[in-house]
Amino acid sequence: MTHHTKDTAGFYRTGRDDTERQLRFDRGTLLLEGVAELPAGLETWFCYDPRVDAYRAPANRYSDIIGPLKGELARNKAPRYQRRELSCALEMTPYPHQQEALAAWQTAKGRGVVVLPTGAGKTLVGLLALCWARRDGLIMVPTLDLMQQWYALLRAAFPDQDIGLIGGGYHEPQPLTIATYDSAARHIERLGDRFGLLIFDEAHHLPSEFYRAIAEFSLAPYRLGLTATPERGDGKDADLPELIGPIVYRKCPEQLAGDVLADYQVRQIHVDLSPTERAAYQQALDDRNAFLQANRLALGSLEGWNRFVMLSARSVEGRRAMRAHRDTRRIAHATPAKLRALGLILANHPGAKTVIFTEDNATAYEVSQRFLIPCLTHQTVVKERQAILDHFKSGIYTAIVTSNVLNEGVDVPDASIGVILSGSASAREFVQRLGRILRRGDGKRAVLYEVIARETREERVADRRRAPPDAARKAERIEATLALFDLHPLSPKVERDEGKSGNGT
Amino acid sequence: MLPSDLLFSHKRGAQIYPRFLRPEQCVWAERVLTTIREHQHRTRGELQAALRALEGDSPDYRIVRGFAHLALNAAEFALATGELNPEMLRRDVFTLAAERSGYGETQAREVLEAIAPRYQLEAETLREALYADLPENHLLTALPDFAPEQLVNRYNLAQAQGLLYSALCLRLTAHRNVPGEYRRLFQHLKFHGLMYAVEGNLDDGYQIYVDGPASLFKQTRKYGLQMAIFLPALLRVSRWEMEAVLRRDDRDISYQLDSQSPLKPLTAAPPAYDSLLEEHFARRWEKLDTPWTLEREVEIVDLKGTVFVPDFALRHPNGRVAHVEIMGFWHPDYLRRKLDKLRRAAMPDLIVAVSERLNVGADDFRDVPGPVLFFKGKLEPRAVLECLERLP
Repeated sequence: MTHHTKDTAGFYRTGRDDTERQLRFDRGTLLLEGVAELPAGLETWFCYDPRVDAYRAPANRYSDIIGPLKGELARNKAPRYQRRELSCALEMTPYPHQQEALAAWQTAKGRGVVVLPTGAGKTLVGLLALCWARRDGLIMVPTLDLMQQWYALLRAAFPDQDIGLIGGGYHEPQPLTIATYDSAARHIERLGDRFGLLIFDEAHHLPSEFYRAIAEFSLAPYRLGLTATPERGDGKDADLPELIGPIVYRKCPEQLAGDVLADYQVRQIHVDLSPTERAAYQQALDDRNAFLQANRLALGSLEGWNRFVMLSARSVEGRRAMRAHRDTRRIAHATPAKLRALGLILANHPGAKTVIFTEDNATAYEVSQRFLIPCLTHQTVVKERQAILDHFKSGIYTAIVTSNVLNEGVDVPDASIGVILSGSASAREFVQRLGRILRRGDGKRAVLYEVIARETREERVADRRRAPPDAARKAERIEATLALFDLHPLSPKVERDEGKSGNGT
Repeated sequence: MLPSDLLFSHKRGAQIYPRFLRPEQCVWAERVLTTIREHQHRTRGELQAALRALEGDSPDYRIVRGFAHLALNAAEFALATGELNPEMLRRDVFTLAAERSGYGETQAREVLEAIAPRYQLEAETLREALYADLPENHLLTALPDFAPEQLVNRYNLAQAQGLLYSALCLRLTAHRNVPGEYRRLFQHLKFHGLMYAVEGNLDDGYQIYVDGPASLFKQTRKYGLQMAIFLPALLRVSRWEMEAVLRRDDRDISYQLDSQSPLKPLTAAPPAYDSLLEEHFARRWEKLDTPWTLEREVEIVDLKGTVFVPDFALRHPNGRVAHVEIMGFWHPDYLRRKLDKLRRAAMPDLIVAVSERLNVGADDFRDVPGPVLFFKGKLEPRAVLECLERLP
């Protein structure tokens, strides 16, 4: 066997050049290679990593590191983001509070959290930050609705830029990208070097164990958090300064009322079952019980219930009995009475932009099928969601019903009637729902209806819901107690309206 | 894989164990698959109700749900309305309803009556069809394609994987495995974004420490999910032990598993040799009259960030060991990386056999300390033996 020699001119001779000192991004960390010993002053951030025989630092320390390190490096391959001059195509005149917020964030060297109430235009602050930082930017949002909202805004503001989406079925990173927290956390190890500015919308989501990696694994020097409610139940908002930066600007709703937010009033409507509904309830109960007796079933135990489910699937009578059973539950939850109240409200404000909030998807779909009102739930796909909101804004649709997807800061520009058909007691939710109705409009005076079933736990829920001081202080409550009877259809004037504007200034 | 609420484990001292199925619990696999089969062409909502009925008040209900979860991952659902597109229908209906200026039940009926002829459906049927695309209204069209035993295997594996969700790091011990198994193991670790350090030697076995890039700064559960996804790859190795450190309720707890566990790999075994070239070489070595025996249990060389695993070890009764690496027909990128590895591994007892069909020459091996042997077509064992004899 001879040793052939081919002249390959060292084509395959590309091994590592061990003399070159370089910094690169490695899956959420920074790797300093080609140094036998760590330059002095860098021990605070770098650790020796025996797995790869190099020095490693957390990616979010990039802006601390790069100053002292710069002179030591032959090459800095860590940041892959570009400088990007963004000229905004939108004619925007920021409100004073938006300008102040931006200035405070700039003073903090582009790292910090801005706290503004819902409806005060946080998104615009984000847009101003993008134009100021002049770096590729990644925007984190908690919901697909907010993703749509940012997408529409960025497209309008920067018509020449491709806007990327990550999440909601998309994975298209671009120099300007909007991502859900979920998807960003999943992909940040591969994306953490591609953006110079991170914007965290609804930033109180960030400190969770899973999401915080977005901040930790990114080297972005500029970071902006936007939220109405930075405080978290678990106290982890204490980590926000580390992950984003300190709170640099804060305004509460009272400080902005009259400036940005419209006047509004709250009306409560209490509902009862009508005699017809009581009769229907009894009828359904009888139908169901007849089937149970005929089949010797008792629903007291789980076993009995499951036998009922099994048997009901096997015969027409069984299916009918199951439907009767569901009817009894629905009527007992006063759903028909609430829907009736809703019909009344809708009749009372024909043509007015109306948003109806329900607690669960089933009620939202029920409203949609009964009144033919478009419905938004977390199941609604992105494109249809955008189409519904667009049509609502342009006036093709005048009402929408939603379970809870609009809870966080989604821009529904000029809804003037809100209806809370059922809801939970979360204080944040209530503030946010009010915020939606309270958005600045042309001399708009918004009305928020709360429909509450009589003698159910909902009465207590409604009381707890009003606990947040901001909302309660502004709202002057009206007790409009209505019993809804089939025999006496209500005319709109039965409803007493003693509402005054919540904020007359 | 299963969601956390369907996982079972038990603690004993500082150890935690996944709870695998007892034989009498395996009957649920068959029952779940039967229920699913009975619901072909019926809605997801109906199927889910039937599965709830199946679990009844049995204390095994989470096992039933686990089986259902894994089986339905492999099933397919489709829209019930066929040609009719519910989203278009909604747009038509909602637009017309909004044009009426004012919502109410009477108006709604009128709208449906007006649109129904266009779809050749009853008004009330149209109302139902509005949301035919909701998941619970979808029809089950394709059944999961596995037998009850396979579902049981998947279930047990998912339990073993689930404990790793909260893992901080893994220590794998592997010994006397063939090169292909090692290589695939490291490929999987790398593919799942994990990092490793290797310690040990051919005779005592190897310890592979596994965690992620940021584990250097603080212990984190961030890589637990990746470790869980990696676990099935470990089952393809013949002899291994695993110890994971889990963080649960702010306490560290140990989780051990080994190749004696009841877990079975889900995929078919890969071929024993990476290439025909290697296989032929091994067969022909058997026929050679030499004291050197060819072994497939080989050395792992940790190259800091990657490993080098030669194809064969050669062992002499007098205790001497040498290695063989065969370079067949490779893509230039792969070849470049391989050459880099050979230089960095710097093994003087490694014989590199190079096919002449590769566009490389002696120049490329200048920094490789061991002998280099060029061959045409098949690699002759006798040529390797000659090289061996020339080794110092």
